[in-house]
Amino acid sequence: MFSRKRLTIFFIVVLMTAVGFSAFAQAVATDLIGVTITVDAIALIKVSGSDLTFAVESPGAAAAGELPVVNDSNTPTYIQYTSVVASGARKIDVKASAALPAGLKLNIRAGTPTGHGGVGTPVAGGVMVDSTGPTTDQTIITGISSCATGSGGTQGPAIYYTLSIDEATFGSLTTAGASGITLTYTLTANS
Amino acid sequence: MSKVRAICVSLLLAAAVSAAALSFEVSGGWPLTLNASNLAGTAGSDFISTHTSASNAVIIDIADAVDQFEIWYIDIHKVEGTWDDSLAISAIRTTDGTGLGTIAGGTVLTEITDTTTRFFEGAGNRSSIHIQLVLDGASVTLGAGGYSLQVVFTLLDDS
Repeated sequence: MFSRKRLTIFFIVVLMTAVGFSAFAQAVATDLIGVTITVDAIALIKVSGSDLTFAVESPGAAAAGELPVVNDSNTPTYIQYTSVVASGARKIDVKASAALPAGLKLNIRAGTPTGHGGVGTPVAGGVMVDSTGPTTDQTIITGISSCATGSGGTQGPAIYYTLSIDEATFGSLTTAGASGITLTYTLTANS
Repeated sequence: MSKVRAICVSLLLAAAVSAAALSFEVSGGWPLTLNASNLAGTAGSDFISTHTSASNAVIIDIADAVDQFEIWYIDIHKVEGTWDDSLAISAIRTTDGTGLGTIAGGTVLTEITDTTTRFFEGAGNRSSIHIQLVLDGASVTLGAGGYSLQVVFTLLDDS
């Protein structure tokens, strides 16, 4: 048997519960959706700058007996690259289209890369192309992971070119007129 | 007899309390692929940082309201799967949906965090409420791979 007092308390509790339900929002359901982002591997590279011109000239009458001099007013070129990898590292190779004329050698050296992410490290001293080539890939930057150097013409690592007289083969140097080669840069997986 | 009456009254009250069987359905999702076409420029550039889904990437339907005055709220939070802390995701309500009820809020970007946040609110049944998602912080430095999370919507009944 409910007494009047107990019944009153019972109703108060029930009413307070009802009021409580009204005063505070109750979570009645949840549902969800998925967001999936897939990042693909990317390997893009470009070279900015002007073609290079070197002139091998007389050292002048006052320096008779000395080796010819290389007149070089070139500015560096720059390499811009975007790399996205899942793991591992990439490198940048340079390949000459042909060997140089006898008596000449060309040093190609990368400056310190700029940008963000794993932009890599230049190979100390760079690489050399002379009258024997090589005409195969030579690595100038290693350790590239996911990165972006910036796409501006002077962003990314500067590439410095130094043409000099190769004393070992200088005896075969001739005035053959203009001679040109093409350098090709490749962003590739480490082999 | 009094006991029986008391039980009947309490059952009626309980039934009144639980009568609001408000429900909702959330559909959609956002699969996003970032590749070279999403770079800000030519070689050397990074991904465009901000990416926006379709305006109706997520559609919410709210049903079973007692009447157009039954107030409800939608809260939102995320549950990360394989995610990267450099990425931020936000949501914005792009349509009001249709129905006799009302809807308010959610029309400015709300960042979705691990903590439940009030997104928008309304009253009564509303159908086809469109939600757009926005991703910030995309960068090539994420590395190739997949990143995922779940956006959890919670319906709260204020009746």
